Amino acid sequence: MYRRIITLLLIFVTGLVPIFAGKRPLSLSFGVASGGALTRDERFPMKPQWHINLGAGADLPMGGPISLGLGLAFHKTAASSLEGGFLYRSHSGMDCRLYLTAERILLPLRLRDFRIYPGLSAGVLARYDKYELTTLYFFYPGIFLQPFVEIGKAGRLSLIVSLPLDYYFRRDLKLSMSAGLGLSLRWYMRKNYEAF
Amino acid sequence: MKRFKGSMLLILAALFFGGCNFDLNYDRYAIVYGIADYDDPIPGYYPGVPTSNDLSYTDNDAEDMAQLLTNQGYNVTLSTSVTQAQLDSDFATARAQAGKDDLFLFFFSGHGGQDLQGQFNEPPPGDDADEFIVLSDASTDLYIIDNELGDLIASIPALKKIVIIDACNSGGFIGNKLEVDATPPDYSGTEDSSLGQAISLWANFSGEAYDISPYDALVISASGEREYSWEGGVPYNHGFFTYFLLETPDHGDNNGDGYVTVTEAYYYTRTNLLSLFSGSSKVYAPHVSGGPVDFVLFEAR
Repeated sequence: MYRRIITLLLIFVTGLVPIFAGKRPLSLSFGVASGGALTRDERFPMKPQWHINLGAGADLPMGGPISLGLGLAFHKTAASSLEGGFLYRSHSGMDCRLYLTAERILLPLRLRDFRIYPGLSAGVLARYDKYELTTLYFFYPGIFLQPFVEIGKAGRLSLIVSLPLDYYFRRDLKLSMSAGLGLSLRWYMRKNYEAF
Repeated sequence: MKRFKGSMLLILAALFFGGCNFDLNYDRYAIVYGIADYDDPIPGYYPGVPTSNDLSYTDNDAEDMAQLLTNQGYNVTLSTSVTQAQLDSDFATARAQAGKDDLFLFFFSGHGGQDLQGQFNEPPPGDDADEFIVLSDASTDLYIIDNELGDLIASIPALKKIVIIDACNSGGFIGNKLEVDATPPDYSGTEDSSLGQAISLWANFSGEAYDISPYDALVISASGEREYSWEGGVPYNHGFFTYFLLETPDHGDNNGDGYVTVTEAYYYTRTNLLSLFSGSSKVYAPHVSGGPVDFVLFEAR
């Protein structure tokens, strides 16, 4: 399954580059995001869970400030506390995201040699997870919003600090969402292109 | 300010790492059945019935399980000879006792089967055939089919409910709705998951109940829907599954938090059973319910 997703990602990247290649080049990012998830079942009260995402993404400029992105990550949501004699189970799996990003609409903030661009990504996600210690797999989609700032100076590399906010359409839960802090490195692929 | 920061850190720590120290401040009730002495032959039992219907260690399973649960603070009702009337009476008592915040556990060790003759076929989206456990009394209703047990379990007001069945074909009592179990109902050593099936289950989820829904109770079954569950003599003297289950308070606390949850007990019994039967044609694998929640089964020793 994972091979299929990676193949699709490669087709996406190689196939769409010529169509959308504009002034800004394709960029790749690698990063980590972590934070808290809130989970509530119909029968039991809400509890927080800790989560982490570790993944990569590709962003294709589509003209102007908009780019189209595809992300693939491994994620893990830890079990909640045992308070009340129950817990929300730990699960982990693959996280695939398709999103649009608006960036560089505003003039950057300048801090010495650095420039800081604010941006916003929004899109859909799909997860294929397994409950920890079991052989039970399940699927659920979601939506997400991710405000971020891109920090860099002359070169092809920049740092992105983001605040990802996910909402999951779990059919067995009343509420499932997460928020956190993300850090990633973004690398612009065209030679001699200076991102900042 | 320092105190405020300290409090905030404590709250955050409690949020994400808390729960290691909590009181089991609710009542726990258990009905524990282990039937070894069966009528011979069991009337109407489906093809594949053993020539001798008596089992050797299922009563030991129940007695030792009842002892363990009593030591753990459960209020236990134990029986090694169960009629339909007694089952109804025990569930009526549990229904009256177990409140919303309490925990209810049903343990059964004995004969189980799968109805391949179509007598109890369940409608879609259930599996093809009903599974059942067999009670002692041949003169009355002998079989408790999965849906019937599901209804009995659903009638208990407690929100935390656990069902543990050490019997042949017991995997058929699990009524998962959203999860694809990569362990097949007749395990031969390979697992297989399907993203397509998982997407289909998500898309077609209706909440409709069949078997024992994970939203009614968490079930651990000794075997898959199409597997036998075995018992063994010295040094086990129990059903193999129950033998390992009885060890879980000592060895099954996977994350070391002081408690053994249903999932941890499942994982410990499964790991040990697969190891014991590795390479054997009799290999069978426990199964567990899906659903987003898990319950404390034992305090770790």
